[in-house]
Amino acid sequence: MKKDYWNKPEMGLWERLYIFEVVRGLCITGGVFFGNMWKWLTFRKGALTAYYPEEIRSDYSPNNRGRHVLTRRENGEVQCVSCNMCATVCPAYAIEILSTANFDDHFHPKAPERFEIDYSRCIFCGFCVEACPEDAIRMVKEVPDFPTYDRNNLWATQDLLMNWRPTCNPAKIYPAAQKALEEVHP
Amino acid sequence: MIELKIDNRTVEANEGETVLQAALRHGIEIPHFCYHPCLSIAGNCRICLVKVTGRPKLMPSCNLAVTPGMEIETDSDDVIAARQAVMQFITLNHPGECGICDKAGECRLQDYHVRYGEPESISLEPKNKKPKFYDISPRILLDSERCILCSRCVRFTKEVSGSHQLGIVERGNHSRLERLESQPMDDPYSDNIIGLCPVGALLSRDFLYQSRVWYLEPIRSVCTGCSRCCSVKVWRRNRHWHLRSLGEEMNRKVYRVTPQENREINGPWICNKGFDLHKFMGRKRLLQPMIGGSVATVDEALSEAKKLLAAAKSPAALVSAHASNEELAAFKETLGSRMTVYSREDYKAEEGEVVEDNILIRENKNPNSHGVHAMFGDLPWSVDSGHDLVLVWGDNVDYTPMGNAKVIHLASFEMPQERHADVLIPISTTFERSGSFTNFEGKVNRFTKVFDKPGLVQQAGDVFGRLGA
Amino acid sequence: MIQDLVVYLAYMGYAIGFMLGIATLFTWVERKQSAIMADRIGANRCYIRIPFTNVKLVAWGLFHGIADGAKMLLKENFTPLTYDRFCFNLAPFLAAAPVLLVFSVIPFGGTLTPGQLLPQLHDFFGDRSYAMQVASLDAGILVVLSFSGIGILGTMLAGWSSNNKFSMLGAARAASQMISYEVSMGLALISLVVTYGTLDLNTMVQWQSGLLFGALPAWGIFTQPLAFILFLTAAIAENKRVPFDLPECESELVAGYFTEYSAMKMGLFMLSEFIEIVVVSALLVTMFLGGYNLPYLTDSGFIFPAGATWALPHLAVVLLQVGTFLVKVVLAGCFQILIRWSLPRFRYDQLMNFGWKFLMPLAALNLVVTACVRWWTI
Repeated sequence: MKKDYWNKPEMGLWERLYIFEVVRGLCITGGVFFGNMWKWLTFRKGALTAYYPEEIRSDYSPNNRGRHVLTRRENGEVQCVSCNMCATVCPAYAIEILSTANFDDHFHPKAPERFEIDYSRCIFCGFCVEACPEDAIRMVKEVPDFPTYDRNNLWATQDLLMNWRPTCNPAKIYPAAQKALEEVHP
Repeated sequence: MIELKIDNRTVEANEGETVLQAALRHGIEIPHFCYHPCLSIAGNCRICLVKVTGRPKLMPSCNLAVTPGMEIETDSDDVIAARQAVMQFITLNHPGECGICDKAGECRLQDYHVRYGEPESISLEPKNKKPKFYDISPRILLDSERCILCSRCVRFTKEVSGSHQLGIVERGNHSRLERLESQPMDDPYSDNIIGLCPVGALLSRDFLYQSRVWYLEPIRSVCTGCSRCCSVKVWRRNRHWHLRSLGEEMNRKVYRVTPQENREINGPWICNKGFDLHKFMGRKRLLQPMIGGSVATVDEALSEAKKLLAAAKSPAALVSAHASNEELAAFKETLGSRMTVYSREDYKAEEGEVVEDNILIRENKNPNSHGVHAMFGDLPWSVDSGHDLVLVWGDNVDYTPMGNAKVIHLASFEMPQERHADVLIPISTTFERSGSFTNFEGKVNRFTKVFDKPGLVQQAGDVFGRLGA
Repeated sequence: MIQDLVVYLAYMGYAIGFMLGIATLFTWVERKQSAIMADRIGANRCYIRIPFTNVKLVAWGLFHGIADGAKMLLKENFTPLTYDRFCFNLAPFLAAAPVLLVFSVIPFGGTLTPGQLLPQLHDFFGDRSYAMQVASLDAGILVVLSFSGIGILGTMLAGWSSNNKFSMLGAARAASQMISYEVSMGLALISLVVTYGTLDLNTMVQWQSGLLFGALPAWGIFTQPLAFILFLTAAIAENKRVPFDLPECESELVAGYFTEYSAMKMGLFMLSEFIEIVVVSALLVTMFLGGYNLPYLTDSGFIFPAGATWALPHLAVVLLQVGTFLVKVVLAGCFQILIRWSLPRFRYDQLMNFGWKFLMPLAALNLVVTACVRWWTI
């Protein structure tokens, strides 16, 4: 019994003969080949891909989120309270946090001693930013220039996350609270 | 036997049971904070309210004795509305800082808040300020803001440990937990109140901010602090959450030890020594086999020991009371017949330690003395029995009483010595092997492996197998 | 006698170098051509740094072939715990050796008279002349068919002795596929034999050196177009490449019959695949594309249909013929790679249906028609 599939192709005699369609396909791919080859031979770039990391594409989307920032409070200390929500929600297990207690600051008794992100694992999903109850971690539109020969270099330390200066504004633009409320409860 | 109906299910309860106990025993969940099966009934949290058909008001199920033919509803709309109201009341002054609270993840308040709580506080008043991070004892911190005044800890010191060191002072909104004596709490069972606390008000200073609890997993083990052999849970990092950047050693660390309920032996409690079991196990380890004080491989050390054993005219063995029954059996089978066997107590009660009480702590500070005595008798070691070779098994050994005899030593922890053992073989700790201890009452308690042993460390049973072969 | 030895040793060296060299070249062509077809850049990370300078010689990624070889030679030779040790080690050689042998009967140039190449050689070689072919066998085509039949053994042994379900499945698929397509390949070749009236490949090439209708070169592709397509299809199927790569399809069978192989043993399978491209191209060129024949080129020089002639020395003619063969083989190989990167893989039932219900009858029909035409024209 021959099973009929829902997407069974409808083929006329021409398609059934196969050879002509094969030749047509070869012409298409061959055409692409010769087109690109002609570009290469005339000293132009015949490919859509980039020589990463030597060549970095310039047209990253404005919505691109490529690097993490740890925000600071007014007094310059890190905003993070080391609650581990980001580390827990991270689907790639890329965040590791070591906490310390500071009983002098009653409002922030818990703070990160080490906060590290493994960029070799990070998938840039932004869940950490979503999960953070303190708005302590943000992602900014920045090209991640990570390629390296040592995977240990891919660990971003707390120092780096706090102190590197992104070229764009890391602040999140929140819709006004009232507007957000209306969106949720119209 | 009394029959009653809970949620249209006919349930059999014992005489004198409360509705909450009957329901829990039959797997019907009724939320509760202040009720604990081993403590008296306070009935002050009111989250366990249930509807009893024929009675106009909701009743607290923890304090409601079962009567025949009772009909209880635990999840009707008015019960749930009452629970929501109670949750609102309880969380009125709760700071809601689950993010930095060590209890988060195993907190009853958090669980019930997810089920019955409002997403936002509807109170207009500012929350009460109370002392945070107040030292109840050097081991325990109190965060009064988080406390819901269930009085479990107070009842524990009154009814279980009998120290009467905690109480609730002030009134109304200002009520708070306070120690009743001016000096820090020194109850030898004090750490139990950390686990007893249904919220994160009582915190272990040792575990404070070490890890979120959902990164950890408990392994059932046995406390080696005394011959009670209490069951404990040893919390190691879950394989899923192993750390890489912060250091591999964090994955081989015991984060905390908590009691494992065992009705036969220790009930739901252990003493503070049990809570410190991981510190006891975390002392400096012996990791390298030695021959006469110089580094050797495992094979060299074993063959040297074998040579010494073969040459000895009257060998003796000192058997550790920290050895598991399985290792003792292995020893008896392989070497026991060739040697005179003496038993030894590795540890004695230390200065200031509670020697013995009538709750849990026993005078013998070794877990398996009973097992050793049952297998080898209790002949104590004396210097002048004229042995020319002593195989010492266990920790905390001084070689001086051995005189001129050759010493083969199997130990887990380092201890400074006057002279070197002729052969020194590192063996695993309780956390690195599975086995069982026999406690002073003759009850056998099993423990499972928490970590793999370090590379050169041997299992004592294997060592005897190779020496005896 | 010593002269024969010298000439044939030179032939053998040329044949081995030809195949390994072009096979290595094809690994690069495959990468680069597929990249360009897919708007990509392709392999370009391998370089040789000129010593004492910082100049990195990338050469369009040509060194990737060398890097591959070095890597495969230096890799750890993993072997499964339970396997037939003898067969497991024998299989890669059994897969690679017959492929190399096929080339021995293929003529890669016309007649060589070494004495006329250079005046200095005349004393040594005299007027001896040799066909440029490692082994001039009368039954050339039969040798080709039988050696490609031995190749099946290697894949079957590899799959069976790996003691792995994926390998076993791959080997079973390979065996049935190769045997099925061998039939239509054989039929296509027989129609060629009928046309050319010979089994000797060199004679076939000489047959093709003539002209059809005065201007068109008498290549097999023009006299037997259908046989050309049939042979090409069957040869790709024999070679187990896309769209007939069922025995080693990654999405189903990891790597098929050589899943368990590592290091250079795996490298031998890979290399034999590329050598097979060379061999198939060489056969295509020999039997359908006029072999070493350049249109209008004869042993004495060019003779154009209009009557114009251009005499050339023997050395130039030999070089032209060898070069023609080389270029034709490379182009035919590129065409195979084009097919490999254009067509999707068959399903297994489609593969079998295609082989038995379409190719085989068509090849038989072609044979019958050829035979009839031949019967009436003789």
